[in-house]
Amino acid sequence: MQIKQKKQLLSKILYFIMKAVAIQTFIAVLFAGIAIAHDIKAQNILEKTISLKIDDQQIKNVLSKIEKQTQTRFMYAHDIIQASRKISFSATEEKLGDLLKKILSPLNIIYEVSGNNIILTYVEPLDLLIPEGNKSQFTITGNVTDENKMPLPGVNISIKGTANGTISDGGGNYSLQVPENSKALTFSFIGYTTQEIEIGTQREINIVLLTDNKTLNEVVVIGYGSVKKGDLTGSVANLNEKNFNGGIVTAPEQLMQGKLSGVSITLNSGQPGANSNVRIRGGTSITASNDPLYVIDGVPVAYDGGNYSTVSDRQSALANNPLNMLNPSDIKSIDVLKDASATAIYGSRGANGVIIITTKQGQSGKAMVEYDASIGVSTLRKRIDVLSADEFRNYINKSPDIKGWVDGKSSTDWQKQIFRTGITKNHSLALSGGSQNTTYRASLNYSNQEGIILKSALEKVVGRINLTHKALKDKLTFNLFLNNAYLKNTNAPVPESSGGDGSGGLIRDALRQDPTYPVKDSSGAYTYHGVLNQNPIEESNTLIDQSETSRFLSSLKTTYKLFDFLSADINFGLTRESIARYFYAPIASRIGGQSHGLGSQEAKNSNSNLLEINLVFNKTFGNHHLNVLGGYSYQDFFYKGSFISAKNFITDANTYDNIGGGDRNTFNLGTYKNANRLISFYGRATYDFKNKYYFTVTVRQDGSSKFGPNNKRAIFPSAALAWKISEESFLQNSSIINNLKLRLSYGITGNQGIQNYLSQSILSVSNNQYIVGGVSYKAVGASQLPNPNIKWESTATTDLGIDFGFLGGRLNGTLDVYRKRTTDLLLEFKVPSPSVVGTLVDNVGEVENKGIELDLNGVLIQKKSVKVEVYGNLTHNQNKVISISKGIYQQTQIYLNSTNSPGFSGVNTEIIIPGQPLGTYYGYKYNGVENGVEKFVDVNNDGKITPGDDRMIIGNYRPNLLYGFGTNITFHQFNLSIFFRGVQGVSVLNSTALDLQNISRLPLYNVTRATLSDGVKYGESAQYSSRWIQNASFLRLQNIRLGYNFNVSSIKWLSRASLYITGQNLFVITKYKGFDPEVSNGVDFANYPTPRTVLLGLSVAF
Amino acid sequence: MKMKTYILIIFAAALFTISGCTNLDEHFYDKIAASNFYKTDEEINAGLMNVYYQLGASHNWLNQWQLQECTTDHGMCPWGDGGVYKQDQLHTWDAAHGPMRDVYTGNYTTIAAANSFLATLAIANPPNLEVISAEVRAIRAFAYLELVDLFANVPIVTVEKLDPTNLPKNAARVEVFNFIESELKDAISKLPSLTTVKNRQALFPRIAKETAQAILVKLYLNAEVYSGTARWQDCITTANAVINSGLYVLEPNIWNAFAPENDKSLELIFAISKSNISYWDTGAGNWTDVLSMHGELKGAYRNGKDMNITYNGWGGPSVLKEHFDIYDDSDIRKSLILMGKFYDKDGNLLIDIQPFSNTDIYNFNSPKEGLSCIKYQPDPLAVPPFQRNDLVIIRYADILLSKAEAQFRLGDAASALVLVNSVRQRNFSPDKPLLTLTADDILSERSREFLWETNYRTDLVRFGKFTTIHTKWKLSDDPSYRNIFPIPQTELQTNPNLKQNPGY
Repeated sequence: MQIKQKKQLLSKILYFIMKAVAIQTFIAVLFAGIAIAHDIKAQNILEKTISLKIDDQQIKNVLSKIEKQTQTRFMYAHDIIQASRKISFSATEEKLGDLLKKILSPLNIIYEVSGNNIILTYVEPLDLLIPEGNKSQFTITGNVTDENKMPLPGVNISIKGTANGTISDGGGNYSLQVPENSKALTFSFIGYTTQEIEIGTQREINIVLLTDNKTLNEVVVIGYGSVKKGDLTGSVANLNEKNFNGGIVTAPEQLMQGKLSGVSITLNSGQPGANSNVRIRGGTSITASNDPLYVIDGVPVAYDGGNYSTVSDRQSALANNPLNMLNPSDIKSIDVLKDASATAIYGSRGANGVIIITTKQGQSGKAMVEYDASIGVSTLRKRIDVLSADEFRNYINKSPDIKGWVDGKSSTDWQKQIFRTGITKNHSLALSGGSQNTTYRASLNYSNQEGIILKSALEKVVGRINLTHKALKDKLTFNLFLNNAYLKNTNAPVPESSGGDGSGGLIRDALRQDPTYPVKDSSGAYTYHGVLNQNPIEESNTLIDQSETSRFLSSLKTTYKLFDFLSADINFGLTRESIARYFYAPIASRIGGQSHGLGSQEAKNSNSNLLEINLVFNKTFGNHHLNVLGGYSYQDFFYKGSFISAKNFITDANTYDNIGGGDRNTFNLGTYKNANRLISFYGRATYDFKNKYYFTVTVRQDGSSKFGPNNKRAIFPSAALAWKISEESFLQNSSIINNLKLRLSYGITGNQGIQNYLSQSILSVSNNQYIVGGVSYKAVGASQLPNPNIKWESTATTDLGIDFGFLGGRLNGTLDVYRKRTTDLLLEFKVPSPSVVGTLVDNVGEVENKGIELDLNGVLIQKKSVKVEVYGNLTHNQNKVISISKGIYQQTQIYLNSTNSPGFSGVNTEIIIPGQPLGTYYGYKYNGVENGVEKFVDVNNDGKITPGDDRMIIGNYRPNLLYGFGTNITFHQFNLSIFFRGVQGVSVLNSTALDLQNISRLPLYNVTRATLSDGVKYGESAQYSSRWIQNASFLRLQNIRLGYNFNVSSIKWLSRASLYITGQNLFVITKYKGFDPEVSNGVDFANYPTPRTVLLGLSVAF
Repeated sequence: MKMKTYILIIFAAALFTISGCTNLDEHFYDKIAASNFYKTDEEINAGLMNVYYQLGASHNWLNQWQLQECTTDHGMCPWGDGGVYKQDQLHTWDAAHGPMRDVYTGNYTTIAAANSFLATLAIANPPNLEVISAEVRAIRAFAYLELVDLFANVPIVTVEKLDPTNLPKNAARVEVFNFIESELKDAISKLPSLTTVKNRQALFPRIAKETAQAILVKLYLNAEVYSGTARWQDCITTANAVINSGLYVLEPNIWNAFAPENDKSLELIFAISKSNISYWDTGAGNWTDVLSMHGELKGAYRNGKDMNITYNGWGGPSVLKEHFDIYDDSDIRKSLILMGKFYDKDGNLLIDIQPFSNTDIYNFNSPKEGLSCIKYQPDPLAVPPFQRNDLVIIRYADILLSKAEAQFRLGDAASALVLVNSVRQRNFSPDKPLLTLTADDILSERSREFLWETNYRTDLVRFGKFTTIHTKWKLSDDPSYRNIFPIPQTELQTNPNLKQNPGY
């Protein structure tokens, strides 16, 4: 009975997967139907009779005569079946099937019926159409495992010298019919060394496949194609499933954080679902996007940096990461294209690097069900040391300066009140399998992640179906990818450092709240105190801030092999994203009370449609191998949204669901829509001679609607060469050097991550109006002046790299040095009066990035049951601004204000100036405290401290050095991985300290404990200076994971089971005093801290 | 479906898509291409309104008050705001002065809006192009008038887009004067007269022929300062044109010209419309009372009458005692300045307003110091901080007093005296006419009449007294270069062709 229930449960779950992705399923089935349903009429056709007399005629003519009589069509490659060969025969009332057998068998041609079509294929003589049973065959069975005795599904097993073969199932088992005279079986699988086993008299062949340590045969996905790692000419970093970061991962970039050289990833917030700041080889741009291009299963995805924080007077930023539409356990590999040789194929979107994400496909064979579950516990890793209630009242009671403060007569640790232990649950179910021709993988992921701040949480459901179907003897391939994600964020009213915060977010409020007051008084009412007159717990409990996101991504790729050496493919892709945000501050709440209820709704949609057509030529001529790609791409992008808000509600009953119930005089609404499109032609030719010398040439022409009429189309070329020194005769037999390759590339890529309509002359209809004769009239005026020359930002990259493998592949590595020079940077200039626009944008800036990257991995121990692997990477990038005005504009530096501590809104904290890197802090140099007053260095020695003369460069938030290192240890059934990540030579503006280390804030604010001893006297106010620019170098234990693989060989229905425990962010070694040294854009202002997480997980496969 | 058909469809669909998708033009959804607008009357009006809107946005009163009144004995503001009011009062401003920059760029924003509208309108070429253009150019001329008065040597720009390689240069003050004069004269010749308009209220405060004439009166009144050549006769002639139009009258009570619905007052010639808006836009609402009044005045009664103060003022701009003392006690205008005790309906004391007491500027003994001014009548329908009273720019009294001053300068003191008394008379019951007239009398009458109407510095400069004015805090004279303000530092930074005014 129980077993039956289990089965029912399983089928229910499967039904749920299907239902959750109902649309996709429908589409999938539709296309699958087209592709698969072809044998229905087969028998009818072959039963047709035919009479024909042929005398020495060409086969093609014969076939066309048969076509006419039987109303069928033959499909064949002309030269393969040698259609011009002549034959003779005569047939009377013969069945088509018999006739075809008679005339085609002698020519080694087999036929297959597909609908009304008959497909002809030439076969090797070995596979002659010997009638079933006449041929002597036997069956070989066996099992394929990896070095850890884990079954390997999906291994290709073929009879040597033929195309016949099979694939191992989920348990690694296979069974294959083999003709009598077959000699050997070949076992091949990506990432493993291919093995050949002589059959002899064996009827059962069990085999252990060894990991291919050279990894040179690993396939690396590059733009519009893939290539063996050993054949790369560009700089491409690659990470696959087994090396991903474990733990709580809501978006794919976290899977690779710290693992790849040249890729800097900083989480913008510890809030569940927050996005990351991803920079490949330093940022190239000042005003345009610095985000890399993300390509998911061939579809370039519009990435909006997650800026969805315009809602509400509260201005709390929304954690939003467009990449979290993916279920991390669906991802097979992540490839990062770094140099111009690799990225030029993406032309005007390549300058910031390209991240290609490939999802898992199903494997032929028995259906396999995989289930992963985990539960995690997140806690605050470090707290800010503010005064306790006793310290607070002691100081105030002793201070002669503070009068009129009333003791709350209680003791509250406000941080303890807002931080909590967050529980994360994750379930992932995948079903995969397929036949020889059709494979599928469907998965469903549900996760519920609680943040460490009260209420903050992310609930996520992701469904995916990947379907591959091959037809026409593998000539035609369909790949269908469907991914749908639904996310629900419950936002804590916390500002991200990049968001504005006039009134203070929850974290800041908790840090500064008077600790002598209780959360609620004896009557159960919240207490409000201090200058804030706020209560963070009340804020958290009363304000409602939620968002719902749905993201749909799909693509359908059809590849047709016209000839052995030439194939064409068409790829349709689309992405749909909609985000809705809901905010309500109830009448009963402090914040809502000010406006008697405040509600808003905001909706944002972004859509993109893609069409690509590619032609690929691939042929080997003796020692020469040539691969040529040519393609066309069209992609459009639409963005639209709306916003409504109202105040003065009469009841809290409807919250944000009835905004119209507010006072009509307070209605605030707006909508927008804009669009752009990109039309491109591209090509790439790679040539190699004897697998020794490689050349790659790439070119892309991009036309973008964003560019000005004078610069509509851009050309991005690149070239690269590689020399596999290890293939030369003098190294070929070296026992020390197994692989040595030198790479050199140069190319130009672009950045079109600029605003839409920048080149246009635009009028805006706004809210502006003017009253004439008591009537209000709309005002419409120019909001932008035309600049027909606006174009892409252009980056020229030179890259020199060495790939090496020593000691039988036990030590592998890659070393790259590069120089990126970015010109035509779009900068904003203040335009002198009179101008309808205060600023003008022009392509004038120039920035340089130089760097060196090293990746190393080695196998220390490799024995039957023990394996120890270590790896590490190192990145140094030096950024420098070359020019900011090209001499045209009157601008020698640009000041930026990155502080958002209240009171510092107009203060310049950063400078962009030629000769210095981006991210440079600029201000007074702190020179200690004298007589209770902060002192600064008087740079020009005039006895005065003035902004014009005494400010200097006081730090930089772009790291000098990034590194990561770790180890993977396998010991019998156990496996352990440890990964550290660090950053050196970086500083952060500790705006939280600037706000809270200020004795004069007492008694209205609480202050940090350091305030009591810093010597500044009461009454002095804090200033922005180098005092708050703090060393933020760190070394973090990013990830530690201990797993155990159960031996399941005795359990028939189970093919794999493992348990693991993961610790994330367990400790950080740093001098930095704030919550966490890693903050986005160098400013730490009451940031949502990154939690410490421990996760227990289970993974099984049936 | 057959495999081949499928492939065909795929390729056909792809080709179809390609052929439809080679266009790289940008499509507008929520914005308008400049080339595709100003076609209908309503659209043209929207463009015109934008120029007025910019004019309104650049006249939030406080900035102009700082430059014209806070630099004299008319006023002082006790707020910090980076010490700008102290600089105003002591005449120690420099090119980094924020409100000066805002007045400068605000007027140029109006000029830019006008230039941009004129350029786009010329392309649309509507039938009434000449009349609309004349109105826009008159607004622009008014903005230049404020610039030539305050900053003197400013660039004259009439094109929409600046060439970054050839940025504008300063024009000499006399060139700016000549430009304004010719623009206004041309506008006057093209604009319709309000005497021909059936419902002139429906056009208020748009610029008509008489409005432009009134602006020209102000230009001629100060011609000697701006151009070095006095134009007193032109001032009289132009003032007569305004007077003889018969359109304007003096209100029986000066306070009526500053009522919440003063757009209906026939004393107003040129104003900037304001309303009791609920959103934050200091250019769209009138906030003069809120800025000036002490918070405690809310709910105050005077002589048994509700003063209609329904909001808490911010206790900012205040009248100096030196000025308060130049009124006759029976002068109605003195009652618009609040000093002493104020009570609520039931006779409870709300506040005892006292003048600034400390001789150390910015060191105040009590927040209740500083005399509030309610020249604009408190609006019972105000949506704090905004009320409906239109901001008065030129009213009939100014035209009469300007003509009087011109007559006086040309030696006709008798006619001037009659005119001055005709304006003065309404403030006294019984009447208290001046018996003789000196230049100082004219200045001091203008000081009382136009308190806080953001003209006083201009008057003082014309009378040669701006640099010698002394107040409680300003005890010494300053050099004559202080008669004009510096070109803002931000402008010099973005435009290397600009030269700073002498002395700065």
